[in-house]
Amino acid sequence: MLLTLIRREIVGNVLSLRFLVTLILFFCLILVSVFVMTAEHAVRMQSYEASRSAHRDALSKIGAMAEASQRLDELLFTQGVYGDIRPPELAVFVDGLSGDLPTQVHTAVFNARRVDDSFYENPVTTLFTSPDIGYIINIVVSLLALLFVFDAICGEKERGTLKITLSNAVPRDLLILGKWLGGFVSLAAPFVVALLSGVAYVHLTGALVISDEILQRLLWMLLTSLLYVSLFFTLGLMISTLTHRASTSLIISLFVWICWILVIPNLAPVISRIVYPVPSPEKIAAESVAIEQETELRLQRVSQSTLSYGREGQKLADDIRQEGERRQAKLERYYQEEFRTQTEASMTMSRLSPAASYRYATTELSGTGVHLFAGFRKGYDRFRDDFGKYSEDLIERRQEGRLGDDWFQKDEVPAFEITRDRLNDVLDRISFDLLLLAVYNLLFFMGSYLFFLRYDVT
Amino acid sequence: MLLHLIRKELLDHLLSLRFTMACIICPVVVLSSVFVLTRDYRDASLDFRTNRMMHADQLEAVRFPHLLTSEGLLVDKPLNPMKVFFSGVDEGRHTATVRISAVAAPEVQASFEKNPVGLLFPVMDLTFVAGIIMSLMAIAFSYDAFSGEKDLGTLKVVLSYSVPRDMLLLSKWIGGCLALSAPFLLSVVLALLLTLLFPEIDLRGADWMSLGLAVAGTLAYLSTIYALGLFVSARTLMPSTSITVLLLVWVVMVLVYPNLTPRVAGLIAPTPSMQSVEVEKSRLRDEEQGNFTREWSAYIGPAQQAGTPMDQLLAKYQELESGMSERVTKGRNKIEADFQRAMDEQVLLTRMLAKVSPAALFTVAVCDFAGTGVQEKANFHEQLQRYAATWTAYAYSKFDAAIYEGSKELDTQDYPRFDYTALPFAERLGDTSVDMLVLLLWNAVFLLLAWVSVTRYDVT
Repeated sequence: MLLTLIRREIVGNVLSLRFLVTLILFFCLILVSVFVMTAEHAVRMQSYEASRSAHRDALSKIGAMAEASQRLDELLFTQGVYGDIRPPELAVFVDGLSGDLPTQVHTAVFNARRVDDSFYENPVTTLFTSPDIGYIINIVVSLLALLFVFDAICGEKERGTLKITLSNAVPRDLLILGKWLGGFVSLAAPFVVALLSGVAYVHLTGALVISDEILQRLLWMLLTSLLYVSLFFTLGLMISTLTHRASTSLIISLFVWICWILVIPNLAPVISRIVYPVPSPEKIAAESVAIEQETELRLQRVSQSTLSYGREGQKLADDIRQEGERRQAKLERYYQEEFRTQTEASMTMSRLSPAASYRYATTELSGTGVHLFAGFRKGYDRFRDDFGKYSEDLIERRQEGRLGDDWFQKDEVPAFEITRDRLNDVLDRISFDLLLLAVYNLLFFMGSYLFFLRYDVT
Repeated sequence: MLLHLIRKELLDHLLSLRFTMACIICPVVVLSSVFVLTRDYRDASLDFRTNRMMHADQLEAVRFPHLLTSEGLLVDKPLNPMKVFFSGVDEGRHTATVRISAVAAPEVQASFEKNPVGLLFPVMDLTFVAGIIMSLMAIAFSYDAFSGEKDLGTLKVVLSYSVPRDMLLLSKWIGGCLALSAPFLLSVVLALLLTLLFPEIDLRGADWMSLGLAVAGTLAYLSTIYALGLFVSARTLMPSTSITVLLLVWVVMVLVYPNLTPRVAGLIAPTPSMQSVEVEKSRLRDEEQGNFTREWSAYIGPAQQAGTPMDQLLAKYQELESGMSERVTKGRNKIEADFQRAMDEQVLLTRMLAKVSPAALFTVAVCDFAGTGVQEKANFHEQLQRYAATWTAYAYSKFDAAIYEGSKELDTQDYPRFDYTALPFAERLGDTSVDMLVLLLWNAVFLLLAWVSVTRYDVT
């Protein structure tokens, strides 16, 4: 009997206007999104390659300079070293935070540059979200899933068909299961086909070479998306079993969608900013300058009054210097710790909405999530530290006259690198979000079942 | 009769569940977003003051004039209180620090310290609330205006009296728009009262006018979406069909198309990438810097051996460096002008494409109405360029041999301050009036279509 119910549900859906609309929307939106994002990714990759080779050429030019000392001045003081950030491959599907990272970083002994990419962007871009597949599923497909199912029960009651169906020997649990399975299959089938055609397009254009790792990531993304879509479908079914008129069900569905998709995830980061305030980078920079100045003053006092004590004076100066460094490190640690707490609080609060869980899971799987930022920070700090050590060593060697004519080796120049997470680590990190999505699914289905058992069909 | 019909329509809406929903969602979202953005503003204004003092101290600590030209100074962008309501371009950043020097273009200093979670979700300001949430409410308010009444059978009854159809449509539009605007306007008033708690938010005359214009633009947008709802409702016979079609149109018009516009414009009218422009500028700078270093090294050694006086050395340095700076600036200006030309074309195309969707048009235009949009960014950039030229002239005027000889100290108390002035309201109004007109035109088009559909509507 279940099969008959599922079949009836699928046939009913397939012949409806909304199925046609959904089908057309899925194909159009996903293909347009993939087309635009692929073209944009190609441009980004081209710029990345061009910039990388220009920076390599600049290093080669330094290597070709006649004098060893001139090469050192050029590298450390004039040009510095640039690091280019490669756009993540899967940003074609889920752009996440990849557009918020700088495209290149720079370091030098003096005046390391921090060029703001936004100057070179079309300012209108910042007014809109990236139209990637992640966004389409997160916002559009969730709404379509609700639209697909909002009158599944109450609509049938209004039309009078529910009464007729239940006057036959059809158990209510089977009916609701049939509705869920039939409805979800009719929704998921065009969705999966549209997604696969999107992946096929990206693969055929050569924008993405599908390796084993990427294939696994894509499959996990598909699974997460299906969980997410089924969550909204089940929620819509539950709302339908709670209401007796299709228009009421629709209004409640839209209300829940607005709160869950638009309000909670967007408010959570700002609320966490209020609950867990972090001093601004400017305040930290001012504090750091104050520590530096204080250390400098104390050192001046030492050099004026206690230098006559010789070695003891020197020791005192070293202690002051070390204390300054310790305070700087403590300040930096404090800032990072506060920042981390705020980020984690934002994530926890926003998880009240499954849209946030979905966004975290898919952005992590595509390598464009919150951890990309942490990876970038680590990579940038390492890059600057390595360059600092490298330049100190070179300057010391020059002072001691042991620089040598062949000191410059391109491979030894510190390079910027972001360590990308392995899939297993990513899965560990997103397991909580996946679990949340599954739990929501289960809860809503249980809710639908319970409410339908008590539903007044007359 | 019109007033009677409007009253009926208004009462219908006021007593409905969707009005209650709008009255809950709108104030909660607007107040929480304005509260948060106001606090952000307060923190940012503190940062701005700290930065300004710190950067002034840094300048005061400079001992030699050549550092004024090579390293320059850092200036800060003053805050715009309108960002509390319409955060506009720049992803909600209230202030920015820019390095100004004689040898490089004004360079906005990037901040890598951002809460990544905040970046994953867009800023909730009035643009977002009106553009997405309230527009969905407008659909929910209007989808069953005709098809729903037909379904219930009341449309037949109403039209059996001597009620002209055009008047019915007009009353539905006015009544619905009033009911839809009420929670939004109430929320805006409450938000304004909330900002009174923060003395940092100092709205001046031009700000009030900008806010008024932006709110008027928002109401024009919401009434457009409402008119669209009436049109679709008058084209369909069942409310379920109306809502399906309307949500399809809404999804494309509000959620998808606007996000595609800048990307599509980028593909049709591409600009050189940031990296290629930077590489080109670096190449030019390095080449000129190299020439300068070579010439200076070739000069300074023999000159010092020959006991050339300091003022002559300095004059030579100034001559070489200002020559280099002039050539670099000229070359850089050309590179930037080429880039800017391409970018202007892209922005223009984006704005043209945005006019196709009322939602995209609203998002772009309302920020310009409020003074936080594309125009203001271009104005800031222009003023930075002008200030950089003033700064360069000032920095070279400070070259003095006595400072290097130790008999005089560098005094930068009289340095030219960066006094940023926003675009005057009248100028902004002139530039944005076309957007407002197009928005009103969309309204008229949908109303006209609705009128044509209503006159032919089968009420039986």
